Amino acid sequence: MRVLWWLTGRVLVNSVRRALQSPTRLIGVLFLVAWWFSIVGVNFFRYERRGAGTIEALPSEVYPILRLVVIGGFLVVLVLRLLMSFRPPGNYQGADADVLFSTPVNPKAVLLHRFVIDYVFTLLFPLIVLLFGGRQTWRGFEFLARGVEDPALVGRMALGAFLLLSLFGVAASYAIGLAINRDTPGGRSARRWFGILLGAAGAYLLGAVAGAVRSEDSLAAFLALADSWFARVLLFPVTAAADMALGLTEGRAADAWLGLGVLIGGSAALIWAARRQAARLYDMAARQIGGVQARREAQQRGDMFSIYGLYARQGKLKPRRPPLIYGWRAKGAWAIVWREAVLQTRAFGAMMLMMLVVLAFLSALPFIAEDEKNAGVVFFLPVHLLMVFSFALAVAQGGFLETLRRTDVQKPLPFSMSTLCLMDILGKSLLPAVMGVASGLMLLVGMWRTPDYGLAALLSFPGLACAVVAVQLIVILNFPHVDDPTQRGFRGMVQFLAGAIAVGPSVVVAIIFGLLDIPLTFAAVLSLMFSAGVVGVSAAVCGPLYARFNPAD
Amino acid sequence: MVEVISLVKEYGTFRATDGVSFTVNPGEIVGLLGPNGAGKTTVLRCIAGILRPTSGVIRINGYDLLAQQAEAKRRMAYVPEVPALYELLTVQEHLRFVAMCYDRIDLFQQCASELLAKYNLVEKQDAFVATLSKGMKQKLAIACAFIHDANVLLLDEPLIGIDPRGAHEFKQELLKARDGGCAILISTHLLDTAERFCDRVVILARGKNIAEGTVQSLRRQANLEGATLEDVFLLLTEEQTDVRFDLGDSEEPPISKG
Repeated sequence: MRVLWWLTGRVLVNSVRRALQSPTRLIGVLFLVAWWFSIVGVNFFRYERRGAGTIEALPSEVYPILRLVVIGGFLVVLVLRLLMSFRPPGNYQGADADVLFSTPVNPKAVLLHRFVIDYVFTLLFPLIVLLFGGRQTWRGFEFLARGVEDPALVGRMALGAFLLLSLFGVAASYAIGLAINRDTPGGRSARRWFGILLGAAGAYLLGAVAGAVRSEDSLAAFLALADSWFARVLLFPVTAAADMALGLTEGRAADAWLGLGVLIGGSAALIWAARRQAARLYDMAARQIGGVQARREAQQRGDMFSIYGLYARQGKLKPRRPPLIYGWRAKGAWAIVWREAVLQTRAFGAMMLMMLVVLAFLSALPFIAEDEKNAGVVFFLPVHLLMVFSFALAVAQGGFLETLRRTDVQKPLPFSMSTLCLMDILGKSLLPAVMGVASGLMLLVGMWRTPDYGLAALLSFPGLACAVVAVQLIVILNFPHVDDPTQRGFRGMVQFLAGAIAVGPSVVVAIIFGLLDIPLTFAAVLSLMFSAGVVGVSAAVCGPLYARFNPAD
Repeated sequence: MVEVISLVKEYGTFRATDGVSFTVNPGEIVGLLGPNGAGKTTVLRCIAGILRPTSGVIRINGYDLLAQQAEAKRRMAYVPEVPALYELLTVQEHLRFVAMCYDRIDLFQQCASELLAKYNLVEKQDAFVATLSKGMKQKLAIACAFIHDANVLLLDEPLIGIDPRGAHEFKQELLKARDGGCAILISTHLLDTAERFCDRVVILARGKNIAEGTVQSLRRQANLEGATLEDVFLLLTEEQTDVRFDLGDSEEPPISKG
């Protein structure tokens, strides 16, 4: 076990050393610290300046309300930990599999070491809040505990209950995680049943909460729920923790001690169960590591295609064949657009659908809110544009990295470099343009009282999406080193900026037209022409850049 | 000594190794050969105790890997194909960490400088592993394998990415280890190296071992006298179906592959 703590210590010390060695990392760390103090630290001092103030006594009904708040908080703590059970415990990295797992260090020690680290991390957030915003947190608690005889005792017991409930939660996620993530029929079946159980419990709880909200006496309904068989049996760790936190002040000392016993006993039993399964840890961690590592690296590069490639290798992505695309017999350079249509639909189709659902919901809000005057238009139009913009950016970032990777396949094709670039841009713009059209149609329907806005969106959004995509190719060809972290960071920034420049003139024209009371549809026509120009110029600029690009450099 | 008996490893419904059996004796270098996806890395990772076999028995120096894991691993070293190392340790700290895992910190003081010099890592000893090139990382992984006096070495494509001098040093080190009684299992695609370097080879295809023996015996059994290991390998892996060549150095007649 000593060697594992030595490793943890060295990695921590070296991370700090490394952060201080590189100016860019140092700036990052300083920025983070400054941000942290500006958010949390400032609140601490602000409280000092304000002074303690007085707190009025509350009526005696405060106990049940306090109990509901405590139960709600503890429920969140437990559920978050239980959801972690669906992946192998420990969050191990490649080095653990390649170096540590083949050494004679006892797997039980490895498990316990990571268990302690996980537990400490679980406590980190509330501890930091207590450290920096302790007084304010306490003030908030005092507010909640008005009328309670001994708020300090409640505070201490609540903190103790939180520590023990967290321990229970971490232990549960380890014991359950080791049981349900086994690559055996039994493991897979246990995982399925655990998912069903959690899902059913969640559905029941949501239903009960909705019922309580709609009932005439909501407080009474919530209290009944907190005291129901469901809370007592299925959520027993939460009720135990709540009893422990509030039992002594509510005059239920026996319940408080029982809660303490349940949490300690339960945690001990779960840790024992996890240790019994320690021999399974390496296998499930090693199986998970490869995928996680590759996904993390791809995410760092903004390389969605690699992530989808990984999903395809894992069998999570099925090769769908949209008839509309398959029916199109593209000729010549248009074959590149066809290829992109197939690839983009597979890689980004699900993402687009999800974003469209969100947009559809937003567009439906005027109907739901019975917004007669369509006052929401000022809000909805930019939100739609932002979604289209983000989607185009994501597609272009991932897509053009794939262009760089496939240079050896694309460059030998019998087309000029500018044609290749133009077709690649058009191909990668396909899905963002479809999203632009869909978004415009939604706005047209959602903002039926001001069709000018919807029509303007319908006309301009597809073009803007293409323009955003087009300028990304210029940026990527200028910063083509995918694995260089410095270039990656800078490229990300420039890509956003380039996108903003591609969209900026259209937005400015729209604002000016709006101020001058000129119909926005005219601005949209101008925007469409401008976007077409951006696409053409980008293709022309990218041609020579692409010709010079050598993946081996 | 390594004994692998009827090793089966399944990933979900996919059977990566299907009843693989072989032995690596002390003082012997055995090459694990096979086309891509044959299950070589899975076999090595199971022997290294990283993956848990679905069924089968693995014994290291007589210790059952599942029942006596710590004892089995105590004198074993594993070098992965693309080693993932602790990037935030320095080179020297990495060696120290491995020595500590094997309770051999005494050997670390004695061996570290020698290994660092041998693999050209002296200048990098205080550098973070994250800053090393791919080849340097491979050298460090190899150095880690020799830090604790292992008598079973498991090497997954260890020569990929290493410069000729490093590769030469490594081969010399392996020969020295073999002469010292070490059992070495080495997975490789470099058939000429395997031919010159390995005492025996085990050929895997589709998760099964389809042939096992010295290069000489494989040639005889495949009726390819005077051919290279590459020719033998191509023939066997091309025709691998259900036929398993189980060959020693005996003068058995060739097995018909009809």
